Amino acid sequence: MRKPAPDARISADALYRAHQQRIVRLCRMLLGNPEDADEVSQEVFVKMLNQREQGLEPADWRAWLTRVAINACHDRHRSGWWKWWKRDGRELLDTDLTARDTVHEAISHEQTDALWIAFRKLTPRQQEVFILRQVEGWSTRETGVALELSEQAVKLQLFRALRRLRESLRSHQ
Amino acid sequence: MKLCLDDNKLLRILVADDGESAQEYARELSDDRAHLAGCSGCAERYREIALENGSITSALTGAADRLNYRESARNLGILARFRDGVRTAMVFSAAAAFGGAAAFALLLALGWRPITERSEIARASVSNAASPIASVNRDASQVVADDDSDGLPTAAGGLYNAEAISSDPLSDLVGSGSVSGANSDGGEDLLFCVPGEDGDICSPSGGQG
Repeated sequence: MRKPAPDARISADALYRAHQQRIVRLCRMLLGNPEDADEVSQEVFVKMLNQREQGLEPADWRAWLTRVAINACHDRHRSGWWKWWKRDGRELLDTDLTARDTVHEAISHEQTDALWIAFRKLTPRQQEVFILRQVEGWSTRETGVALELSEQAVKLQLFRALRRLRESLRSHQ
Repeated sequence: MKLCLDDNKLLRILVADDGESAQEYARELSDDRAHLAGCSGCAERYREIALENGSITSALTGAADRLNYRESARNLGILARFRDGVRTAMVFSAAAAFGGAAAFALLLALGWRPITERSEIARASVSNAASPIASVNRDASQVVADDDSDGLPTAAGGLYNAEAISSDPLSDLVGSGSVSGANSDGGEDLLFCVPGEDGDICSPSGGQG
């Protein structure tokens, strides 16, 4: 394997620092537990290093990393045993050890838990669309391209996801 | 006067307000949009829904950041507990089955074979052939053990002769030869001992006269 140039290594470190938290969060949202999220996010950054080694620099690392992370989570979701193994109440939110912050004052502790559980019950596609559109701030078109969906489908998935999340919020008011 | 839009219609408009197909959606939802533009109540609700969506997103991202893997009994329902039990049982059953199969394979590799009718017959014939010899050996051992007329300690004599019999490599092959060997250690008289037929003769030589 070719050794990367020093400036490339620094750049890779900078990329890692800039995107690591975001990618881990994305993986946590898609997979539901931190151990798997850490594992998959590491795979994503290994792929990033390989990409750099091969000199295949994408135009936008942010979008590239997001796409790779979503695909990696998607692959893991498709694994049958993993799905069966995780399909219980184990993927939980531990809110006992964390302090409330101002962002969540509008939504109570119980509502956050209910939202999380409702989010975990969304289809993988709805979760992906929600993350790209709402969390990552991608446009409908970008989301559609990344997930190989039409714009109509993206909007429909987002609508369904938001509706279900809002219903869970309503039921815990 | 058209009724105010419900949350789902407002949400649909909100979601549609983006992308290249926004115009297409705008046509589809033109009536609703027209109402929204003219109704302050719906416009207010529309803004609230937009804010709520932002809050939902923030809550979920915050939750993801604070997510810790911890099993909580209060959230484990009966179904989850049952699934846990089944899963545990499956794991242990699989481990036991694997262990059993491995042990069986090891036995086969070491030369063990399952009992068949033929091997049972062979074993029976061998044991029938060996039983008289074993009987003779046992009786001879007993006689020697009882022989204390020549001043030898009984226990020591018995042990010595029994050991001689059991350690004789030819005992199983020659049968009565082993008895002779044993008797030669216990005394000359015992060479003529016929166990089971003449118990008196097999008494110590001092007793015979």
